[in-house]
Amino acid sequence: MRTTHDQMTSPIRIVHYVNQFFGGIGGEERADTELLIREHPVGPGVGIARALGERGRIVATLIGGDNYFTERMDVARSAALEAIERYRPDVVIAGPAFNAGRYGMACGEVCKAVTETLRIPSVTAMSPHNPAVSLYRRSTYILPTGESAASMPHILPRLTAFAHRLAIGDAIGPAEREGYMPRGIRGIILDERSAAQRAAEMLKAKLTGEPYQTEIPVEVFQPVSPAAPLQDLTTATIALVTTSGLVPRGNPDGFKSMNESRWATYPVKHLDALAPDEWEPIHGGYDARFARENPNRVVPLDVLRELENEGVIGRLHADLIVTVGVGTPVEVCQRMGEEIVDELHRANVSAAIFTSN
Amino acid sequence: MQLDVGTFPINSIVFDHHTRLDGDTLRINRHELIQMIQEDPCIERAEIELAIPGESTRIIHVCDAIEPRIKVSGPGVCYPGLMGPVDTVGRGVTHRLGGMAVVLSAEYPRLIETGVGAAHEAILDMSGPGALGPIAHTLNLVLVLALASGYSQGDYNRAVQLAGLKVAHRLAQTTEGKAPPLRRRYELTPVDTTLPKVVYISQFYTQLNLPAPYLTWYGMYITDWMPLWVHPNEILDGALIPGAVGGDAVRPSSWEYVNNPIIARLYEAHGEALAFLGVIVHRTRFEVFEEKQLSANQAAKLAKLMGADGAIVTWIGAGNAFIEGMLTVQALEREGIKTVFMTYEHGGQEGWEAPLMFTVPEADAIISVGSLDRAITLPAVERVIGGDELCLDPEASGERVPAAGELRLPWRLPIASGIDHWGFGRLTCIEY
Amino acid sequence: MRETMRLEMGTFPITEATFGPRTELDGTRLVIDHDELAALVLENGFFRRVRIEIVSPGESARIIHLLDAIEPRIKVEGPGETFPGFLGSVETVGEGRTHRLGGVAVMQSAEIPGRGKGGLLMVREGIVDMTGPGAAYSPFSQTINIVLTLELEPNFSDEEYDRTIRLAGLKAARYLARTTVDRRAPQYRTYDLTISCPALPRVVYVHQIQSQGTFARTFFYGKPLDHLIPTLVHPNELLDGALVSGNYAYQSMKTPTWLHGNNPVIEQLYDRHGRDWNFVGVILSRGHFYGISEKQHSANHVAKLARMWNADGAMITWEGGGNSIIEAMLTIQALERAGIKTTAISYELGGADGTGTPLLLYSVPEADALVSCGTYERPLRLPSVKRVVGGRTIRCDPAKGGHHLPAHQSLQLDTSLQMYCGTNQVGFGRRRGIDF
Repeated sequence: MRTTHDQMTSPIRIVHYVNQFFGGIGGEERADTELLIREHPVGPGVGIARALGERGRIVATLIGGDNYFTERMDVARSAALEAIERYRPDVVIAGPAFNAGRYGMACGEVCKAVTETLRIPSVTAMSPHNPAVSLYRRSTYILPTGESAASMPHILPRLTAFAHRLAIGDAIGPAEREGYMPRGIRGIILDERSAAQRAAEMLKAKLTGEPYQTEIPVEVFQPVSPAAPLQDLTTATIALVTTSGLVPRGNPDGFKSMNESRWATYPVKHLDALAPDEWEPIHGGYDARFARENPNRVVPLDVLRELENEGVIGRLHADLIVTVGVGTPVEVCQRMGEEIVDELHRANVSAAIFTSN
Repeated sequence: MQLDVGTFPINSIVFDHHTRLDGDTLRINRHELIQMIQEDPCIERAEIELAIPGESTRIIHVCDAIEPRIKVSGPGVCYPGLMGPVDTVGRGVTHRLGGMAVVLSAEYPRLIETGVGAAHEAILDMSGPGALGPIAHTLNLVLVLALASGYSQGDYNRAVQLAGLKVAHRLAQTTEGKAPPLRRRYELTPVDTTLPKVVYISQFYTQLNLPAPYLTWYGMYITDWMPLWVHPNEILDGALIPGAVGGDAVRPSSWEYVNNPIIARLYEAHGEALAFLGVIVHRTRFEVFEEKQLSANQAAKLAKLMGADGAIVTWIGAGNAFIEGMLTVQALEREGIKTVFMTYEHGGQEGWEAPLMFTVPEADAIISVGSLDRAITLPAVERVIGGDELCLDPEASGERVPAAGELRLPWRLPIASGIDHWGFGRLTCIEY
Repeated sequence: MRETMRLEMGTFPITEATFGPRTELDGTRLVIDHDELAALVLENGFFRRVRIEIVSPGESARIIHLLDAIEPRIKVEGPGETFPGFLGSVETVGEGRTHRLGGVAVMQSAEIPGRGKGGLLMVREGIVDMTGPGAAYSPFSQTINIVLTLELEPNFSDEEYDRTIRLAGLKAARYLARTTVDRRAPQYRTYDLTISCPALPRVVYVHQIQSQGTFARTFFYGKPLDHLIPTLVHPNELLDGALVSGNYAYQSMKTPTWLHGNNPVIEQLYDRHGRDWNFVGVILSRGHFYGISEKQHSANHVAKLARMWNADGAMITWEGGGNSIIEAMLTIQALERAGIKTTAISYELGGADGTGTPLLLYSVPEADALVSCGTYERPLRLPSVKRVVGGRTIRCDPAKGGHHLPAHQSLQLDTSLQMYCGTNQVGFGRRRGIDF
C-alpha cells in the first residue's frame, strides 16, 4: 500500500514500465519477452531520471514484450502488479508509447491495474491517435505525444513533472489546463469569470472569427428506426410501457420524480382500467393533473382492454412497465431500454405501446 | 426574405376526367376531389359545384374561401403547420391560381347554441347588391360538405378547413413545372433611409376559450399572445388564416388574408414613398381591460423598437375587439408614430346613430370602409348552392327560411366578406 | 428621428440593514421599521403572521422555503412604475429614472401546502446558504436579505396563495426603495440602445423563460406568459421589472425576479454596446411547449425575428430544465442556419460522479459555443448552521410524500436541485463544468 509522502524531505520513488524495444532487449523478434526487472533507469527512464534530479529516483524499470503483454494480458498484469507492489513506488510511469498500438495497450493496462488495484497514481503518454487512448483514458492520466519517438525530448520533462505532482499528492486540475487527455469525468470548478462574461467573450470571438472553445461539447444523437409493423394483431401480445411515472398509489418502489435510473413492473392482469384512487403520476416534469384525474390518459389500459375483449388484439401483457422519464441521461435510458426489451422478449411480447406524458 | 409569387389567371373552370391546367382553363376531376374529401370521417358526404360571378347564384352556409397556392421552391409549404411542417415560409417561389377560390359550405350542427362560438349563417351572392366582397367576384369552386354526426365543433372546424386546403393544394399542383404568366417579387429590400418607415398593424380577434379559437398561425391557434412582428411574405404564404366555423361579414376569408391589399400597397410604395418595415400581427379581444391596454402598449412599443414613423392599423371582428384598435391608435400616437386607422362604421340602419362604439381623441385619421348596420335586401336567386334553407337568427326565432327567396337583412353581418376590413374596394361612408 | 428609450438607473449601495424606529436610508445603512413593513405585508388578510428577518453575507445562516427574491426598485421619473401590471398600470416602462437598493433582496418564504402532490406544478424546496460550500450556488449569499416568513391562513387556493405572496414581496420591495425618493443616487448609469457606430455587428439576446401554470410561471406586465410566442422587447423594460417570476417548480433552475432585473447577460451586452457590438434588443420566448411542432415553430420564429432585426449574433439563455432545452437547441440551430452566430449558457448533467453521458439531454450539432454553468447532479453536503430563517425543517422529496429534516443540521443532498439558483442559466455565477 502507498505510504504518505512528505514532499519536503524525501525523494519520490518511481516504477517505470517500457516495452522490449525501449528496454534495449530487441525489436519485433523479441516481442515475446516475459517481464524483466532492472533496478535502474533504462531507455526513456534515463531522461526521466535526469529531469527528476534530486526530487526522486526510478527504483525499478519493468520491461515487457509487446506480444507477451497483449496476448497473455492476465499473466502479464499479475506479474507487473506483484513487482510494483514490492517496490512500493509513489507513482508509476509507463511509456511513452507514441503511436505503437500494443505498447500503448500495455502502458494503459499497467497504469489501470496499479491505480485500481494498488491505489497508486499512474501516468502514461502516447499519441492521441493510439487506439489505447479510448480504452484507458478513463482509468489513468495520458499525456499526448507526437506520433513517433522524435517527440521524446519534448515529452519526458512534462511526463516527469506530472508524475512528480501525482506522487506528492498535488491536486490535478482540469484536462485542458493540465494538458492530459480528458478522462471522461466532468468536474465542477469556479471560474474566474461569470458565465455571462464568458458567453459574451465567446460571442465576440465567434463574431470576429477568432478561435473559441465550447465548454460543453455536444453529442449527435442516433435516430431510432421503428420496428416492422405486426402482420397480425389478433394473435399479438401487446405490452404497455410508460415513462409517465404512473405508479400504484403510495409509490411502492420509491421512484424519484426526476433523474430516475430504475424501472419496475406492476401487475394489471385483472384490471379493466386504471382507477385514480389506485394509481398516481409522480413524474416531476409535466402538469400531471389530467393524469391524476384519469390515469388512463397516460396509460390507455382501458382502451386496450376493450380491444382485447373485442378480439382486435390477441392479449394484453400481464404487467405494466413503468419508469419516470425526466432528466435521465440518455446512456441510462439506453440501459433501461435494453433491460425492458429483454423482459418483453422473455414474456413473448410481440409489440409494445410506449407512452410518455 | 425574397418571395416570388407566380400567378396563373383562371378564366374558366370545367369538370373533366383529369385535373389539369389547360391555358387559363382549370379542368377538374370532381370525383377525385370528392373522394379525397370524404376520406375524413367527420365529413359524411361532399359535393362540388361551380359558382360564377354575375350569375343569379347564392352560396349559403359559407365557412371560408381559400385561394389555391403552392410552394414550388424554397423552404416550407403554403398554409404551413396545416399542410406541412412549421418551417418558416416567405422565401422561394409560390404559385397561385388567380381569380378563383375554393369556397367551403357546411352547416354546423348547433353544438354551441349561442354566443361567439356558435356558427352563424354567411351568405355569398354572386350578383346583385349582396355581391359585396372580393370573393363574390372570383370563380368559386364550392365544396358542399355534409358533416357526420358525433364529433366536436373543433373536429368539424379542422375537417372543413383541411378539406378546403387539400382541394386548394391539389388544384395549385396543376401549375407545377409551368411558367407563370404573371410574376411578382416581394422583398423588403434596403431602401433610402430618409423615407418614412411604416409598419402595418393587423389586428385579429381570437377567443381562446372556444374549442376552435378561430385564428391559426402556422397551424397553431393564436391564444394568449402578445403582438407578433412577422414578415409580410409569411402572410402571403398562408401562415395566418382563420378557422372555418363561419365566414360572416366581420370575419374575412382566408382568400382575403393572402391577398391583403394593404400589404400589396405597402410593397408597391416601398422604396418610393416609404420604407415598409413589416407587419405586426396583433391579437385582440382580451377579456380584461388591463390586458387590452397592455397589448396596445406592446404593439406601439414594438413599432417603436422597429423604428416606425407611421403605422396603418386595421382590425376585424365586432364590438369588444374594437377597443384594442382604438387603444393601439392612442398608444402609437403617444409614442409619436403617425397612425391611420381603418374601420367600418355602425351608425344604425339609417345612419343617424353613433358611427363608432368607442373612441380616443388621438384617432384623428380614420379611413371608413362602409357600415355594418345598413339594412340590405338580397333579391331572390335562380340557384342556391349549399342547401335549401337557412336560419338567420338562431338565437331569437330559429326560423328557417327558403334560401332562394328574397332576404331582407337588417344589417350586413350575414353576408360573407360583407365588410371590407382591408380596403379591397372603394366603399366608404361620408356625412350628408 | 424619434427619441429612443433611455433609462437612468440610480444605485444606492447598501452595506448594512437593521431594524429601527423609522424606515429610512442612513448613508449606506438601510433602517427598517419592522411593524410598518409587517402591517403592509399583512394587509391583504391571507397571512396569519409574518416574521421579518435580516440575513447578511458571511453569517452562518440558512434560508429555507424560499420563493421569490426581489430587488427593491422604484420609478422616480418617467412613465409607468417598476413591476408594472402588479404595482401599477401596464404602461410601457424602460424610460426615465429608476432607483434601486444595491446589494439587497426581499424574499418571501412560506410553506405552501403541497396539495396537488406530484407533477410539475408544485412548490419545491429552495435553500440559500450564506456561507460554506453552498454559498457559491446562489447570488443571494452575497446580498443582504430581508426575508418575509409568511404563515398562511388556511383554506385558500394555490392561485390565491401564489398571487398574494407575490404581491406582498413586490410591495415590500417598493416600500424599501421608497427611502431613495428625492435623494441623489451615489451611482447613475444610463441604459440606451442608440447606435453610434453602425459598422459593428448587431447582437440580440434571446431570453427563453418558463411559464406553464401556477407555481411555474413568469409574468410580463402582470400577464402570465403561458402562451408566449416569441416577441421583441426592450432590455430597459426588463430593468424596470416588466418580468416577474412566479416559478417555484425547480428552485435551482429558476430565474427569480431579482435576476430578471439584474440579468448578467443584458449587463454584458450593454457593457460592450458600441465597443464590441450594437446590442439591438431582447427576444422573449418560452420553452416547455408540449408538441414538437410548437417547439420548432417557436425556434423558427425567434430566428426569423432575429433575421428581420438584421442580427449578426445572438446570446441565448433558458430557464428550467428537461423539455425546455429542446426549444433552446432548436433555436440555436435555427439561428445558426440563418447565419447568426450564437452562444448560449447551459447547465450540464454528468451524473453523481461526473462520468455520465451525454452532458445535455438534447443538443444539435450547431451548438458549438456553449458556456457551462455547472450541474445539479452532484451530491452536496451542507454543514450545520447556527441560524435558520424561513422555517425549522426542510421538506425533501415532495413527490414521494415528503419527509422533513431539521434544517440547521448538516444536510447530505443527493443533488443540488434545491439550491436556490444553483443552475440558473442567466450566467451570474462562476461555477462551471470542465473535463478532468
